[in-house]
Amino acid sequence: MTTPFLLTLALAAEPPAVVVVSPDDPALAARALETEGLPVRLSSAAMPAMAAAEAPGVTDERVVAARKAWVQADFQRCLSALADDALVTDALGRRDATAAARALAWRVACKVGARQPEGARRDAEWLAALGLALPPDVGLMTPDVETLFPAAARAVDQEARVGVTVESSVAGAAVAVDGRPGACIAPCRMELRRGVHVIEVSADGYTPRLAVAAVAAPGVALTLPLTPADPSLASAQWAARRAAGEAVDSGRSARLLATALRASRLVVLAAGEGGLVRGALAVDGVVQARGEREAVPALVTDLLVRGRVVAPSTPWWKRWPFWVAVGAAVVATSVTTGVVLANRPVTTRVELSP
Amino acid sequence: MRAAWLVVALAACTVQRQVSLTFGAEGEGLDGFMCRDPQGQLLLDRARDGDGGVQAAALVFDFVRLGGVPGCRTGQLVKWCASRECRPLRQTRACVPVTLPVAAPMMKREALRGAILEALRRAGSTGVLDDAPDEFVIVRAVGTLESCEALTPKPADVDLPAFDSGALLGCAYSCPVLLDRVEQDVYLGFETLTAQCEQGVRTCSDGQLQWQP
Repeated sequence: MTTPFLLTLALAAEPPAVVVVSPDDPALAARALETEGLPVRLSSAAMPAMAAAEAPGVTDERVVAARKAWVQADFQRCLSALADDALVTDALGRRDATAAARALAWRVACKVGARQPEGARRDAEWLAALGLALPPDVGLMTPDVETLFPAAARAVDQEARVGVTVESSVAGAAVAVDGRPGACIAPCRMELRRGVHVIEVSADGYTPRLAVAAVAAPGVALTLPLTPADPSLASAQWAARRAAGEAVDSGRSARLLATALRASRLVVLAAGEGGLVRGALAVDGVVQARGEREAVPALVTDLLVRGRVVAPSTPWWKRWPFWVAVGAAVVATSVTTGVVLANRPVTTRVELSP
Repeated sequence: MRAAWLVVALAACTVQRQVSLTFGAEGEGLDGFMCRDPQGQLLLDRARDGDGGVQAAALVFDFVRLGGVPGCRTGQLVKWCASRECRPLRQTRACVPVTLPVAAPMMKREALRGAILEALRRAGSTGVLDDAPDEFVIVRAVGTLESCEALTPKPADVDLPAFDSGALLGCAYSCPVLLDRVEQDVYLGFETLTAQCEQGVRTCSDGQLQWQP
């Protein structure tokens, strides 16, 4: 993605504000920098590097290793490759449902081969409780393994679901369950099948929080506080939003940019329709003013004034020096008029009238 | 255009006044025109020509700068001008041709006064000066047989032409007056307690109002 041009607007003693223009019109930034007469300093800033892509999980390689051991009838090696439940929960945390399902399915196969029917049944039921689709790998397994999955699904379906309450420090945080987003919006309550589930709470501008919860008895309550995202994560979140069609000057975009740029005062500019320029001012991540103008400097000034970043320019006729000058002019005019009237030139014609 | 507006504005601000010079309703100020020389001859009789006629005369008006505001009495004026420069303003001299009467034998003083006044009135109201000086002056009227042409300064003249004392017919003067402010007619007169006042006429018509022995 093209790195957008960003302008930082800084007060001498206060954190700088940032002006952001749309990536497709970098000239807006330059025009914004030409704004004059403001008691603030305008400057640009580069978008921070986005967070590195998450490293691929080890689940897939473990599954490959386990499958190889299973084919060789080395069920102990098969089991040891997939013994860790974290292989499943990590994959779910990455929202890689396929990897999680394959890991569980092959673990079921390994346990059947290792003559651990109870363990195989539990894992099959966990797979069913997670609601994950059976991976195509199941077709490669033995019939006795294949039959376990529908049985486990039936057993899980017959069990009553358990209520789980999720709360977060951020109102409106999105809750995802077992890698499936959109479960609910925190604070919320949902019904889950018994078993181990991966609950994820996320919000723009915050670092997502994962929890592995063993849901057994009713009344499970999870409180997952969120911590503010670092600039690189915020930048990645902004880029994701932008790629999804989010307007560059939307409130969410401005908030993420403010975090990504560590800018307490941020002006976001974007090309509008009909030659106009749209803009939004965010202070501490919250949009305080929006505007649309033809001239960028006027728009920047307008946003900063309406956002109370700078005091509005007092009209000249409301300034005291003007009225002092008016008063002085009135006095001077009065005195001059008085003097002129009192000293009007006199022309006296003299004539003889005996 | 701007200059024209300025002129219009200034003109609109200018106060136009008019002041009349008078010798009094009955000619009381004409004593200086009825003076006699030490031989008892009326100065007015100097206008009589050999044919029994009367020569043309001139009434010359001067506005005399005083450099201050002295008293009005003759002695005060002479004393003031003895130590200061009292000088007629060159550009303000005005001359009016007149024909003054000569005295008939045994003519009484009051009759002569009336005749002089009548002669002056026959000349009608005459403009003396279009713009009076913006300072205290005395207005002096000198009757003389000299012509207006001879007494009107030429462009090259630094000083006003002096009067020929032998051609003087009379004189009158006002109190020190600021003509731009005065609110009455300006009265011209002549202080004398005797008819033999030719010396006073010479002093009155002197260029610097100096005492003339």
